[in-house]
Amino acid sequence: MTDMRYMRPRSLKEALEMLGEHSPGAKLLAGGTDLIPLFRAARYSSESSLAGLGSAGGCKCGDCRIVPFPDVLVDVGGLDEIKGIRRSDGFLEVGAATVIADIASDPLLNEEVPILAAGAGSIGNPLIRNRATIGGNLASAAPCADTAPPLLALDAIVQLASPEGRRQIPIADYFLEYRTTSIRETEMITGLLIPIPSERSAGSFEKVRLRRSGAISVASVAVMLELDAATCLKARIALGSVAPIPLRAAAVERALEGRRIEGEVARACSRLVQQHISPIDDIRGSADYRRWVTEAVVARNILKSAGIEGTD
Amino acid sequence: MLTTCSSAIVLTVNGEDHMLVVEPNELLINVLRNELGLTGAKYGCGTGQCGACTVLVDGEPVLSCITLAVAVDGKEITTIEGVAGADGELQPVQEEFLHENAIQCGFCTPGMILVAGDLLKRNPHPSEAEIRHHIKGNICRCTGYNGIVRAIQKAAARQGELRSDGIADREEAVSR
Amino acid sequence: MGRHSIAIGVNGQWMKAEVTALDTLLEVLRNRFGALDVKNGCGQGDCGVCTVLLDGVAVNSCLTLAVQADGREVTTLKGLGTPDDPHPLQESFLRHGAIQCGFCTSGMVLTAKALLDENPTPSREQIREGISGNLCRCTGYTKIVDAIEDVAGHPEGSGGRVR
Repeated sequence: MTDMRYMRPRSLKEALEMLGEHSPGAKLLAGGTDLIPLFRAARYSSESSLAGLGSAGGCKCGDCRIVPFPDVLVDVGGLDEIKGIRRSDGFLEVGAATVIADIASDPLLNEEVPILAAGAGSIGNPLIRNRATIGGNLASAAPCADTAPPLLALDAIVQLASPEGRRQIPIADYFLEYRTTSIRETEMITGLLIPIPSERSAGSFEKVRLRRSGAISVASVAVMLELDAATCLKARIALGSVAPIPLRAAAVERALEGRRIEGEVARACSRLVQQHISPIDDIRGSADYRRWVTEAVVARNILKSAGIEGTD
Repeated sequence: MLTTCSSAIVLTVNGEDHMLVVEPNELLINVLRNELGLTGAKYGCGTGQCGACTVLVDGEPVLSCITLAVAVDGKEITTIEGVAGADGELQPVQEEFLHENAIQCGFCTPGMILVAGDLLKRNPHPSEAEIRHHIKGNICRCTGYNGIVRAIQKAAARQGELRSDGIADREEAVSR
Repeated sequence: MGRHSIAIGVNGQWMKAEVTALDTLLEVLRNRFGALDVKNGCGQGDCGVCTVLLDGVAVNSCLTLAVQADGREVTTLKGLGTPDDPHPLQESFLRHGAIQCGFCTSGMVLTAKALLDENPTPSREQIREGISGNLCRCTGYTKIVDAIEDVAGHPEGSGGRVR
């Protein structure tokens, strides 16, 4: 089948050394809830030449290529150095190998950034959430990744490390194109830095889905607003599953900033979301439906964040 | 609705007499379930093929979904509700169905138990082939039948334990 | 050839195997260690029949590589209780009629155990949320929730005897 080898580094330093030594044939493993189904869905091949193999199809997010198995699998899921959630200097630091279940239930996150806890809590099912990690959710960069819209709306910073050193990038620069990120070949995500939202901030997260559990989003929306009474000082609107990457709706944000939030304003600004999204038809919904529902859900969550009970 | 074709009939069900006014085309299964509230007999296929509607009429298994109520006027009907003792104590065949995992969704079970009881009355020591043959008119979609067959075998082995309300002894009691 | 020697504690008994990096914990438990009480369903983490406890945490064994379980403890249904000494959850499932075909049961009971370990007094809604990764096609879930709720209310074991 494959000669792929499994390695379990005992420290971050060791993990980076392995990445450096074995790249480009090294692949990181944490929870494995995305990677292992791909391995088993024949999306990976032990053929040395991929010519003529075509597309495996049947994957959850769209049309995908077949890629060769990596030479080594580096398991960073157990590294305590990149696990944990803590407050530090006006930021929340979340380790990349923190499991999604812990993110969903963490008291600090639920207190300061509940939209991230909500996004995490909507992933998969309780068993998946016990293994999946926030680093993995970002690294696999599926357009439907449910921690992505909240992190985008929170202006999170992605912390990266490689054998050459460390760097940070704003999450707005992280997603480039479909399942392609700014991560360099020997790099790995070590954590996220989330600026603690000001006292005047409020947000909400909503995932449109066909079931309450085990459901990939039809469309997902994360909103963060900084408000002075009902006037919006700053807006962040982030969307998932309606474009090749999770993204922010900058036009909606600009239109909201400086305006007094109320029903008609929310609806009018939400219409601007259409210029950012390019949803597809798939088994979970049509492109038309996604356009319609994204606009409605953005408006609803703007009003909800502003504390206004509005009609849909 | 009373029409000129309605008749008054008397059914003795599980030892109790009931006078009922029925239309000529009313089915026994519907009278039992809807008029008498005895929902143990199930409406499965409605065409006499699945056996879920099985009841005993004068001790004989009958498909109540293709039996007219008027046709059993004056007869003794036994449904699954009448199998356990008056105090609710289960018969061996019922207990063995529980022990041997012979019940999953439970839909075939009432008919299956009545037919099992009928078999053991006629043939107290049936072979496996005889058991399987005798329950051919009762379809089960859940269990794959093996648990049902084992339950009947175990019940057969316990024949000596039957209580005074037991099906197998009923003939004896009636004839006394 | 990418082979790895691993040791996994299965219900307290340490067992060794030579595996490839791709072998899943599910495959090793069933095919190498004979733990057939762990079921193979969808193979992609949607149905939950393969649930085991990994160091006490409920996970899909189909999504865990065997190598990831090296040096760790796995609990399967048989590790919870036996017919002679059943776990209160096993007793409760039987008593409440929460088992029909039985295929989801192993994973369901283990998930319930992990749920009650974390939250000994869950509401019905929390129970439903907690088992939302374990699908059952037979029972309609109500009796499963009843069975779990019964144990939550009586952690020392409920009153009724199993037939």
